[in-house]
Amino acid sequence: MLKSHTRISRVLLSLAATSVLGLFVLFTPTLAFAATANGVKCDKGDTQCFIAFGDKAIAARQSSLETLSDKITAQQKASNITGDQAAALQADVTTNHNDLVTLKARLDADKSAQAARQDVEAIYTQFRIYAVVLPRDYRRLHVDIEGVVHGKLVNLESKLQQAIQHASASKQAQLNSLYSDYKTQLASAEGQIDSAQTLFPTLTPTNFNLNRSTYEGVLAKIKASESAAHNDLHKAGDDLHQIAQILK
Amino acid sequence: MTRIPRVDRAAPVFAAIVLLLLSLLCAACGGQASGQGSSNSSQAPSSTTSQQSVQTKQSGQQPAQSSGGSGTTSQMQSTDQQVQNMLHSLDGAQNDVSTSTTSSNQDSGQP
Repeated sequence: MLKSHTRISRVLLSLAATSVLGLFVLFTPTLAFAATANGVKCDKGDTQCFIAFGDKAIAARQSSLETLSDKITAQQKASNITGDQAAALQADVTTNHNDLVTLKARLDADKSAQAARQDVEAIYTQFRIYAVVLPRDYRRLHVDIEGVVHGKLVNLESKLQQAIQHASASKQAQLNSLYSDYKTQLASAEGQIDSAQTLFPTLTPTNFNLNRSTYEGVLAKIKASESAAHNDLHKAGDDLHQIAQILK
Repeated sequence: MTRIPRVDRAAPVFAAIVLLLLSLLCAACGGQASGQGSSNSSQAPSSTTSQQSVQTKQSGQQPAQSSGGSGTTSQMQSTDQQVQNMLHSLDGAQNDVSTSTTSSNQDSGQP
């Protein structure tokens, strides 16, 4: 009895030890990643540590800006935004890219840890690429596309009206109802797009840092307008689709 | 004191080795699975692009398919397809907004 009890205890002990070891193996990569991604701590006087951290942070932001630039180019090529809209967005990407290049050169030349730390802080407090620039510019790209889609749908109004007039009498009531809703949705979208476009200049890193409540308030208004316009355009698109199906 | 035979003493050690190997295998599988997940998510835009290209091709084929109908009807189907493609691009742009907003907290990781 004692022998069997001892054997069971040993097996259980081995199982427990193995499980702990297994869990350690399983989560070690995650823990290591967390340490490098978020838990970087530089000693007060470690200049090279601050420079290395800053260089990595700048490279990540440059890469994200490049992705945005590619998306702007793709939308322009697809004629979903105008040349002027693309140029304005690309100009902002270029400005931030160049400023980050300048900052990196300054950071790499820093001789003291204090100077390096200040330059690293500038990545966050001065540039705000992730907190302000990218969300704002992606939002602006979305609103620009909304504006172009709206324009194209408005241009279709006379064509739709003509097609409805030539439809059979039995379909007229349904078609006119859809066309009426189509125009209502476009009118609503226009107001929302105009409203969003006027508010974008408030979304700056300076306002994010110093007038956070104003910044958040404006951001909330833009979000609401942008989202409402998006839904309006989809409803207008649905109306158009139904009209096309009825006219088939 | 009861003496445990050699085979009995070896059994727990053997079990421990087997379990350790299984754990390593699980860890490797988990790593691969998460790697595939991130790769899929990074490929999402290109899949959207390919979807768009399919839809564009469809829109190009539209007039030929409805050649039996009147010119206006055919034009309307083509226009509808173009608008649906644009709305699809609009959805893609909205997804990009969501992604950039989610990443905005990365500006809070100073050393």
